[in-house]
Amino acid sequence: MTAAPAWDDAIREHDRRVYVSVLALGLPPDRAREVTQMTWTRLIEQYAKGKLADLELPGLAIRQARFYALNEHQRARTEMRVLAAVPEPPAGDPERDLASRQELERVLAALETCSPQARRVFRLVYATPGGTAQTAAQAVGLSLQRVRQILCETRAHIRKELAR
Amino acid sequence: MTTREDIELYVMGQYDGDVAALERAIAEDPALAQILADEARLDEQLRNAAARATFCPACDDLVRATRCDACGAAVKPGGYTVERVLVSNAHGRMYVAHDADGRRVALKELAFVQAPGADALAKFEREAKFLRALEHPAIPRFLASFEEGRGVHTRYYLAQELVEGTALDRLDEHWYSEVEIRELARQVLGVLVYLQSLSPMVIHRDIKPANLVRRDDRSIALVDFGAAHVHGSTAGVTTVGTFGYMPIEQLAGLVDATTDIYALGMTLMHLMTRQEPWRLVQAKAEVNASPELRAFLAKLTANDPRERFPDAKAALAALDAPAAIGPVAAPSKKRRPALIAAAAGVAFAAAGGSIFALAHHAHHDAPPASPIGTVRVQFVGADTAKLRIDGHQVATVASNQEIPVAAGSHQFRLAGPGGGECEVTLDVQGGKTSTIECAFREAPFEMQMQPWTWKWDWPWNGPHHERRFGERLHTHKRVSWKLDHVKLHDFALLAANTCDFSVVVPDGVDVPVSVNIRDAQCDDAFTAILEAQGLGYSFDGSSQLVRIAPLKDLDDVTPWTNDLPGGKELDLDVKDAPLHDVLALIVKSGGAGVNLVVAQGIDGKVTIRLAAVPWNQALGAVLAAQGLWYRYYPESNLIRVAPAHDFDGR
Repeated sequence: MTAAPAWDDAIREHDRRVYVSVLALGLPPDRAREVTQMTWTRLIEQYAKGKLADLELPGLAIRQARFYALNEHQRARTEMRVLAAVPEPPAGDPERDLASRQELERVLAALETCSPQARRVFRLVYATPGGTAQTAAQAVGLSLQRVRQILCETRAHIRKELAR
Repeated sequence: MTTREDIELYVMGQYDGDVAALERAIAEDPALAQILADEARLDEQLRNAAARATFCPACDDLVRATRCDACGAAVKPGGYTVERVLVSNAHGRMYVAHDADGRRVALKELAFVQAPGADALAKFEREAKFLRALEHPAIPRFLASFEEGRGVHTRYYLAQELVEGTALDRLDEHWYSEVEIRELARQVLGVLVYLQSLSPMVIHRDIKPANLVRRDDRSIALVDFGAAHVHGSTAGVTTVGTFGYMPIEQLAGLVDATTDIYALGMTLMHLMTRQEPWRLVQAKAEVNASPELRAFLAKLTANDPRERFPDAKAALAALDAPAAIGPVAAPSKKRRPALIAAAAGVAFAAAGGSIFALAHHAHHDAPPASPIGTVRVQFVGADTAKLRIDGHQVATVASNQEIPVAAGSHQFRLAGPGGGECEVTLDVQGGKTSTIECAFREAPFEMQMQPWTWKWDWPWNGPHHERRFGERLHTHKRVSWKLDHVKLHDFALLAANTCDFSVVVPDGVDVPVSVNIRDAQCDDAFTAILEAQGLGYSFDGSSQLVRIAPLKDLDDVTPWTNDLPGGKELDLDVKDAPLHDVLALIVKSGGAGVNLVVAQGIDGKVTIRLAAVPWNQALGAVLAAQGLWYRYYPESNLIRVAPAHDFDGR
């Protein structure tokens, strides 16, 4: 078992990521927030009971949150648009791996066509531990507003490239 | 009105409007809920991509291999992960990186435009050797050195402790108080005392604000030992240092314990006045400080090394006991020889000649002996001769000329234009004149007009081979070459750089060279590689000039260009350059004001590396390499160049 994590720090660092992963399944914000909270509660309990041998964050929290989100959908049997409602095939599935690799390549190819400044902001926000628009603005010497604008432009560009 | 951008910012945690209102709007509008889910999924995709992508630490380009295709920065050299680039210049980069344990290091990279030259490698190895041996809290600890890549892609790396702090040249907003300057001087002198206590002593040779880093605890670290020099060795003959911070004698290669003392003094004055050192010297500026500190700085930065503190220990003692600092006298006539010697070195450099680096320098015990003596060269059998001291070419000298030389034992070698040589080892006494006498043997007429012809059988019982050359290239330097399909032009430049000779490679011999030679004598290896390609060379020992040619063309005589007016010695390094341009460049750079006319139809390319070769000899070698000849019209100071067969009875 890994050393006891500082849960406050872990939640502060990964909560947004877990929340967004639930939003990506189509849950509305209020339900997504509940699911995220349930996820953290569950993890803390399970860890205290010694049932979590490998506490890999945020991966474990995201998987748990997705499980809750799908359960939520089945329980309510609503017309909610669960875009990823079909349970993901098990890891190691060649078809899924291929699709995942292709998707990754397309994102990277789109990223390569962005400006150097956009790539730098992207790296500072998405590829730097604890990276936010604020830290990126400080690092590149731009205003927060401009960094947010660059992020939106970059996302729009990648979205457009992925939609082709 | 909720927009997609609002939702994007919301997903990224950057929405700074009314979040509750936005969430209500999403809950009420299925279209917005769809956008939210789309954006959240895109965010996941971007995070996954970012986790798997490797970004260039210098230009943020995406890197698919070990090195950025766009800017060439390394990503994971030797198992270190590069975080960012600290400094980048033509010779390489300095990275901040971390090892597998997350320990941050400064990673120095040496890159090459061509295959690494001997000088660059020697400097890098010297720094690694120094750092490995040094152990002081103010000197970054050596961690590892390694190399990656091969040929022109070779990169050498030196990992050392990362000194976290700010280089003093970056603290330009800071005004230094006298107390701070004294503390700074005390710390740097402490490091110098350590370096000077080593045996042999180490001289940093490049102390300046950029190489002094102030850590957060205000302690000072001395970095960049790339220019460092072990006192008494003959390796550090290249003039290195930073203009303004180095004393004038360092321009002539003279370094000793007072060199770093002077540089520290100029550094302190720069920090106090915010004026570059050369401006301070020009303006004869006074430092606004107490008389004691002024006297201390004046003694650190005295022009005459004998008037400086003899070593760091003495300077440190004087800093703590200012009464011990004596007045700095104006240079007297008696002390002029040292200054003359330094100036002479500069003059040689300005004239395009080599600077004779004086590795030995007398210690400044009182009363100090003059560190400079004079050597008079006297010879018959030639008008001028090449003088080499301790293996380094100094200048072309005339008989009875006097040369200032550092006191100590030196090997002198005089080479006449006809190939004759004299070699003598002299113990030069400071302030005294020694004489070298030499009688050059008159070279036979044939020798002047065509190269020697040597014949031998190789293998002894095999077919007859013939190799011709003027003299044999002779160097004891040992080399290890691993080459895989390297073009002959590149190989020739590599060999010339490594083994210290000049070379001319004609057009049409660009065959690939593949060899794996370990620890061979340079001249043997070079000759064998050429012969394996059906090539040979002619060699002029007076200018150390090698002309490569197919064996069958070695019969072609190199034009004896001594009828051309004298001029400058040339340093030139070009590859595959148009012949016309090279000829024009040589003639123009020769400084003899000669006009050049080149016959129609002459073209081709030539690779050439010259180090202190007289312009007329360089011209002769290039012409011979291309099967050309020349005629000189002294009345018009004009040279006509044409194919050799155009000239009758050449």
